[in-house]
Amino acid sequence: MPTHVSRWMQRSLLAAAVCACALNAVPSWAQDLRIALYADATGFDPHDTSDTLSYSVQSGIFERLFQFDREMKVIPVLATGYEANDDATEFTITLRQGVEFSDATPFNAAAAKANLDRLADQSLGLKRNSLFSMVDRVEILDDYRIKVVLKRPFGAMINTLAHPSAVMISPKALADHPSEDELRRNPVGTGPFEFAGWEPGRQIKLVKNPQYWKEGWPKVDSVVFYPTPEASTRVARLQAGEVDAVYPLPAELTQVVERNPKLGIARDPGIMQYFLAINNLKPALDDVRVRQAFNHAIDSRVWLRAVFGDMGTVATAPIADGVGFYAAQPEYAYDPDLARELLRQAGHADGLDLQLWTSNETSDVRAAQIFKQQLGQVGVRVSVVPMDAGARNERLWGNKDPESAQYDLYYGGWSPSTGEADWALRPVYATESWTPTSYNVAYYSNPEVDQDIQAALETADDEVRAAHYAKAQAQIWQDAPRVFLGNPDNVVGLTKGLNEVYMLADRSLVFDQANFE
Amino acid sequence: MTSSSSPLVAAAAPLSSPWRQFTRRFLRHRMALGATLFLLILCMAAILAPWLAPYDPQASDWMALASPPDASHWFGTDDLGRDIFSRILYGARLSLWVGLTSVGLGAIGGVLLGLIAGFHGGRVDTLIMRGADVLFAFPGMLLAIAIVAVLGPGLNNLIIAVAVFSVPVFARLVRAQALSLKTTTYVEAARSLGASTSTLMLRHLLPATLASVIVFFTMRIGVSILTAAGLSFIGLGPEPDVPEWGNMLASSRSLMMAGAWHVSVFPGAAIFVTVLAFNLLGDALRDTLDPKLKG
Repeated sequence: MPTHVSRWMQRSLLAAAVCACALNAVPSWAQDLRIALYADATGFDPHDTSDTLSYSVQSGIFERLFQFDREMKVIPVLATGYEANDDATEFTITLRQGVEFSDATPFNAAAAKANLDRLADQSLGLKRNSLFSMVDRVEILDDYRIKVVLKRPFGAMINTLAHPSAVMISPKALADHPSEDELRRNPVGTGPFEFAGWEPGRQIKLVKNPQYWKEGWPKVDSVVFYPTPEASTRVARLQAGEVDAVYPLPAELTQVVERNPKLGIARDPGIMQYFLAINNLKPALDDVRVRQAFNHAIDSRVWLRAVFGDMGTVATAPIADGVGFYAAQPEYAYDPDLARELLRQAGHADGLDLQLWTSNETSDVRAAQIFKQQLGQVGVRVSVVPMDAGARNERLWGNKDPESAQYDLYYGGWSPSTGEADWALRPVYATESWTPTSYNVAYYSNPEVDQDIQAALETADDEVRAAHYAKAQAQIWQDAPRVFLGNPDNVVGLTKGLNEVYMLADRSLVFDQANFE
Repeated sequence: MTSSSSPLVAAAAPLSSPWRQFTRRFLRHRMALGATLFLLILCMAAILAPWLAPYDPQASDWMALASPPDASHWFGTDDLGRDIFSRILYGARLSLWVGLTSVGLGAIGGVLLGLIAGFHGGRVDTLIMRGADVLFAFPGMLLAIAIVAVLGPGLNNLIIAVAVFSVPVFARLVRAQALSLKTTTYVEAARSLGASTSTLMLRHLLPATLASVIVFFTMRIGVSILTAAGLSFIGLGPEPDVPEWGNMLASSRSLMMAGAWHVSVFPGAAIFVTVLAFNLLGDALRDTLDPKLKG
């Protein structure tokens, strides 16, 4: 009897095993994409978002009328085309037909108008309202055509519509959640994924949108984001197979990932330009010779090598070379002797004592030490003050009175998410953008530059715009309101076999076409 | 009577036997000798750093970033191409300076407060010791962080922070001894001869407590070097380019995973060995200074 039982058991076990194998042999397409992020998202209303990381996560849920491809060229997404009048005050946009929001609300002219009206309504106090302050009204021409009418000429309008904040939110969601606090937790868009939950500090989950209008996409069933602030922990999770991608991959760990046969990287040129802002209002620093001396004293190639592992380009203009209307300028050669001579001419033969503010992140502190050393060689004695985000927001970005700003030098970067010259120049070099209104923290002001930036907006003629932007860039370069450093590459770490997960030039993460081999 | 008579002997130093006893015991303690030897070498290295260091601790070799140890750079170079060996030598100056001054200040404050509390008793005692209890309630590191957060980062504030959290430890130690000593016959005798309060405290009580204070002082240096390095590590110490051991660890931690082990191992080892040496020396001193032990 026992032998019978055991034989019977053997057979059934065998049968079970065969069944299991057969089941396994059916290819399982259920695939999850897991991504480690350098921080948590701040919310899910792109109209009220200002950080690139949140935009990145939101880009799975929402789409815009226009968007950027991997080369930062504007491509139509929910729009199919546009026409502009000659003085860039009216833009007629044709919308894509047959698109639905994931709550089954149809996407049409009324939906587009609702969203653009919300972005343009300055009374709402959303973080990106100021970007759309030139919009006067949006007219519905028919079901799939709208006309955006501007208060003043604005040649960069289509690029602005491609900004990651200019998304189309379901009108039903907008009506159901009138309070911002609710809306930012209940996002509904037309994108390849639907929002499935957010546990702050732990994870964000998106699942496939079955009604997505692009046939056959997305290729993955869900995307889970894990906020992992410590860079080495992010890479450790990638090595352990806990995540499929890390955003971003810090320069010093790039080689580790490249050496691992199971991992790879996606490296793309960036348009974020790093700089050492100089407080143009401070005595001594208001002298252009002193600021030019700093540009000659700091070797940006050394900075690029020590901080970004030589991945990227050094600055050759006040905006990155990947930005539209970029115009190359003559090099500020590394020349300590010339720097000392310029300082002597400006009456600072015995040097200067300056404070350099920076974030307290390891790589920023490393960069600050390089500047301290190199400026020290031309007699400028620098003390480095690392600060956390709170202190910087209060003392640097929140400082109300430019004259009383305490800093001398500030190490930071600017990434124009519209990919063209206006948003690369105006917020950081125009007089109207002095901190705290916008990001001109150097308090730089040159009426000629202001004029060129404005004139370039007042036409839709690209040649005229290019001429104005070239003139503005040449003038800024000569005025040296900051030390122009460079434009590092963007690097993402990936498991082998994962494709189409990369960073756009503005440092946002793209994953809507992610697929595993 | 035996236990309290020995401090009396120690206090009346001219008799040579306790000192001889101490040296005999100390020299027999191998661990103590090793630790002392190491600390002597470290002190010499710190003092002679400008002559011993092969490179300027602030000078970068931009072509050799985070390069591993070789013949020209014995401990390799750090993330900015600076010679780690030279930086550790200069760092020894800072660490020893921070350790000695902060514990020194803490000991002076703590011993005085402890003597006053133990000798006077009553309200003064309650006031001082409850204050010490409040400081004791915080973990040392947390208290130091709070102090630096208020005063601002920097080497001097770091010394003050470490000194403040050392005060209650010494105060409690000395108060306990003062309490038991003030009723001893020799103190009573001095009092009946008309000695003033300050004479009683400083000439008669203080020397008797010194043995344990010295032991504690030595052990405390290790703790304070560690705390100072910890504060620097989290960015509350001196400027980031100062070759302080905690600073060196902080700037190198991201390189550890990139395979550059030497950038963190050498400063880490410097902290470890130095703290260990001070602790071993403290242990040895306790063993050899303890009057209850018979040679």
